[in-house]
Amino acid sequence: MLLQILISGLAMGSVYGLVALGFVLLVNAADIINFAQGEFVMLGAFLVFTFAELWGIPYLPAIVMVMAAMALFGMVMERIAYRPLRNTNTATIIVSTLGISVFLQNMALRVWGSVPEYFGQPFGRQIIDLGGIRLVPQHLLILVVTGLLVLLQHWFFHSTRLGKLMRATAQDKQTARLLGVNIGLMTSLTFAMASALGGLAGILLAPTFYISVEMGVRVGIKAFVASIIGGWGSIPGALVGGLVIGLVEVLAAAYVSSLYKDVFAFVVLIAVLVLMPRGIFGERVAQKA
Amino acid sequence: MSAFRSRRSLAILSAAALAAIMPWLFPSAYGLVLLNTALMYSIVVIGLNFVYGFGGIFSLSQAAFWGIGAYTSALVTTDAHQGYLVGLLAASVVTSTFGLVLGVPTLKLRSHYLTMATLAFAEAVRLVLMNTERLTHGANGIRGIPPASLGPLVFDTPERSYYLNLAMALSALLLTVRFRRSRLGRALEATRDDEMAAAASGVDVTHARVLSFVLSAFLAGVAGSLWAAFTSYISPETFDLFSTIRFVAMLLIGGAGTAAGPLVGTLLLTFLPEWLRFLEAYYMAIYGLSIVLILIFAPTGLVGLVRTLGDSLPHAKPIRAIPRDDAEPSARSGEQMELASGAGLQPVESDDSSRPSLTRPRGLEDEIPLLTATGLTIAFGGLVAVDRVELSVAEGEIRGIIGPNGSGKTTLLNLISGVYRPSQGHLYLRGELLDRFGPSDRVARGIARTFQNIRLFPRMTVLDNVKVGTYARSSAGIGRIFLRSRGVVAEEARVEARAMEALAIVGLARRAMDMPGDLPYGQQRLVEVARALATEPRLLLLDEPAAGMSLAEKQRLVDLVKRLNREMGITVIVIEHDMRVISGLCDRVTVLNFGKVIADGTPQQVRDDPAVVEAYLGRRRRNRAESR
Repeated sequence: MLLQILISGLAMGSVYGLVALGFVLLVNAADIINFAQGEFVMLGAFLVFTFAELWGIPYLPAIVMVMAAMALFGMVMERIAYRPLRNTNTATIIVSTLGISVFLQNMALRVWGSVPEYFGQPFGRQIIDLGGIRLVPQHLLILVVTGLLVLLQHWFFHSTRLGKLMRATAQDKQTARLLGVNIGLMTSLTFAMASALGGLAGILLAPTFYISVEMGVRVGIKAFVASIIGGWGSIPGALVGGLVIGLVEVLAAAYVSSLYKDVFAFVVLIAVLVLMPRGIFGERVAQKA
Repeated sequence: MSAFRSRRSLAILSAAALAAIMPWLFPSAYGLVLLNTALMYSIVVIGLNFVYGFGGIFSLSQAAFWGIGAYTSALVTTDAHQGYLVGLLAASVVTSTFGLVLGVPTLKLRSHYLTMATLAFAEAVRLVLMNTERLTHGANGIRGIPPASLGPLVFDTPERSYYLNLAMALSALLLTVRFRRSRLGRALEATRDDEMAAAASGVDVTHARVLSFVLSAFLAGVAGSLWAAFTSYISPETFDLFSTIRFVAMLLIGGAGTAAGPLVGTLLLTFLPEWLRFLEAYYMAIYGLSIVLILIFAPTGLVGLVRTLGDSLPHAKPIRAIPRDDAEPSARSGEQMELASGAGLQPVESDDSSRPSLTRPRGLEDEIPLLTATGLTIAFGGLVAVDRVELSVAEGEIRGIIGPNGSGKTTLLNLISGVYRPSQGHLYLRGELLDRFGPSDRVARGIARTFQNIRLFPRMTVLDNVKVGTYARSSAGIGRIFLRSRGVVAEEARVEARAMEALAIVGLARRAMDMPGDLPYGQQRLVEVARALATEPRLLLLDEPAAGMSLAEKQRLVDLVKRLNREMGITVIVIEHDMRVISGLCDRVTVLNFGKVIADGTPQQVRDDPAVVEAYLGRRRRNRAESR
């Protein structure tokens, strides 16, 4: 029973972690809080539903198409909602991402309607029984994909030239620019990655829930909380924070009341902010007088 | 001026007439409901403007305060069966208290941590509203809230509510306008622009920040009370994060930090969806995009955009009368400038007799030195930046502090001005122990400073920059500022005269209405000196005042500092690398190296001191010099 709960908690947590990872990438690269991050999840879920279910494209090519579309969308969003405003201030850009969020939600409402859709690929809602432990294959898939992705992004950011350039841009734009790094391109690529990660989270999440216009808001807020808990701007923190939120939610739903699962996520948030305001993997930089 | 006045009052009069007949201009009842909504929102957004626009704190708890106000008022008027006024009063008291409770601890946090703390608070409020069924009725919300009433007046229709909401919104607007032009408004904007410089100019930074939180919470609470009475039904999800973000959007689109911005932004974003109705199914999506577009084309908000357009027209810039045009000195020949002798820098508080006259003639030596440091030490990690420094500066002296880079000069100044607290040792000002005072308290005791890297408030005019310096010498509180009492008007006039006088002393009265960024480097330094002078210091700390100045400017600076010292009796401690400036100014020079005092004496003495030569040039050079 507990193992079952833990696995489903880790699976949900992985999804939050992926979305939070997108959050953190943008925090580092552009110093913004992207309120449209949750909408990426919603969009990813609806797109995979459209491609695979409505148009009959096989699952794997459909995933690739969704990721590509989302990456493209991220770059477009960077052009519209970030680049013209990058010399203003954080609050202005946050509100601008909110505008994009309102736009996406209402466009989605037009295109896909307000009735939640069901998408069952690849495993549907079947449950396998492993010697008394009942597992949802989709949860296992989420864990495997997230695990692979974490390794992939670590390799990308630490071993490839492009990844290093992106990290350099995130750490110090001025210096990176002086060394000849194309800052605009790096920021654009970061938006593409954040958007694609959100889309992937949507693809993975789609079969465990119904797909609805509002799903992005729910996941987006949880991911935001996860990135705070993990430590603002910390990549491992985003994933760990996501897992913490996922576990807390599932444990609270199982042992306390499913009504209170959202309450507990925020209790954890407040506790972390009080006890270690910089989060689990927070910045360790002393403030200079 | 009078033509301007009468045109202005005509504009106000016609606006009032338009506002009065507004209910008849709206054919649909729904339009009137929206107008009421916009007015109530505008009060919340005006509140947010205090915290974000003037205070620069990105708070995400505005909708939570709004909710606390709405719930308090609703519960008082329903479950507790009290009248509306009691509800309104309770709402404002409770939200102000919450503002205080949130404000005090979170102000220790910086930038995004502070934002997150406000977010966590907002979520906690929403969860409490949702889950304390007994008190708040949980997710069901509160029904049957009676309409607002004042004695026999019952605001039970949208038309009647309109006048109440309009009156409240205009009062909030009035508060903004008066606050902005007050010492508290300047203090808050200064804190937003540069916290350290604000404190060093005498501003009580904590007070400014907490006040902004309390004011924003108070206004949100009032709006919440109006909201509950207007809609007669409230539930927790109205007061969520997205409401807050909507308020932030209204503020930014109208123009953060402007008086009219909140009203403009709120009206626009409330009615914009209605105007986009012709787009039918797509209207909300286009609304989202419009927000982005407005931000792109008017990044400083619509009010900012109008102002920018206005400024680009010839002669459109309003020229405020400068009170003392004759005070402009012949800046080229500072020697000839007369200080306004009798009316010289007196305390703004004319009844404050505890302060000694600042126009004390030179040579009146006191027995106790003005400033004493004993065993002053500060270490950062393993680095001892200032090491057991003994310092004694007499009243009326101009003391130079020199030393190689990294020798601890600026750190010593930071210790004296209270930016740092010493690890060991003590500082005394005329025998009074300074240890427990922060920068602003030390300004009140007569210590003022300038910064090595110019730290003016970039978004305030030169005059307002200097006026910030008078903060510690003025006293108007928020209540009197809102009511614009006679005392406040008089004090403000004194502040204006004081600031103009300080600008005249440094020769910059003509630039009073410019922004600091438009001034050349050397003049920016002088504005800092003027700001320090406005604090009416006994001890002025100058950190490399001549850096980046031309030879002629340096000469004028030397003349200026001498005048301040001789004619106004201000004691000066100056850090400077240029020995000509030091020799021209100082009676005595203290030399620091690696945080220790290595020499002390007249400029000539220290120049010949072997230890000083060694500190600057190294041992080998010294030996060579000796062998020659």
